[in-house]
Amino acid sequence: MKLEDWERELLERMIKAFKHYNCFIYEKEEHDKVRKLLGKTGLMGKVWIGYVDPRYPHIYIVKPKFHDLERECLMEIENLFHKGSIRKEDYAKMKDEMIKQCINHYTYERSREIILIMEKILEEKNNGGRSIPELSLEDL
Amino acid sequence: MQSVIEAVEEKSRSRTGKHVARRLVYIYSRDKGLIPLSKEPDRITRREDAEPTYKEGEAEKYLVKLEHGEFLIQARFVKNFLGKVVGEISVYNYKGELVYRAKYRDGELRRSIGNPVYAWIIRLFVEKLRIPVKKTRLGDEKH
Repeated sequence: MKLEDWERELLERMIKAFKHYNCFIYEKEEHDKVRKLLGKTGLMGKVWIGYVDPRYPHIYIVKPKFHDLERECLMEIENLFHKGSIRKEDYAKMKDEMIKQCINHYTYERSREIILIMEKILEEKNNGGRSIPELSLEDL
Repeated sequence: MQSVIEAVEEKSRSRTGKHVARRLVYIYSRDKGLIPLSKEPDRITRREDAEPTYKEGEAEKYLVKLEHGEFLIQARFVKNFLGKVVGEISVYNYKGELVYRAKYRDGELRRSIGNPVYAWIIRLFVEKLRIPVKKTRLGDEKH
């Protein structure tokens, strides 16, 4: 994949942000560029783009995409409880915290996955990757 | 001492033109170095038509005469509709034995068959034909 300079720069910024905060926040002016880059790298299906806060429509956020993560975590914890892995008192007391922890865990895991993909693309560009000249069989 | 080896040269493409196949024959001799078979027509003892890989184009089968100590290099490349080229380069000695074979894929050359002492022939061939190579694993690399 051939990346232009601004794409490379943006990708590096995104990696840095995802490493520290599991998300990337940017302003409206960059919205088109971010969407274009995510489309090009094939990450559109893995991330969610939207407003940080609906009150501020000029600040956007890119974060890992999930389909009803909260429900999934709740089910996972209930399963553990029914299996007997969690004591009844702990379950009653710590249920909310456990769900929060579970969400954090999955967000972190998904962020890592996204970072790995981005780093691979950057590395490919740095090493030459597919950018070696194409072999033309006509000229041989 | 002489021997005769079979080799095929081909240049063909599919009807849509998206797929291309190419087969090349080169000879390596100590005096002349690496030379294409087309420049040494007196070495061909017999030539006959062969079936090309794709519809458009042609292929020709040769019986090639080799002198003692010479090598014959047969390369085969195929390009798919994505523009990706894969292929293999085989080295035969003057007895007609396959001594080395390397495969070419994703810009990487990798040993497939044979003793790495013959890897230099592949390197020479790749250099001469200016085949873009990103990485080699021919077995003669220093670690």
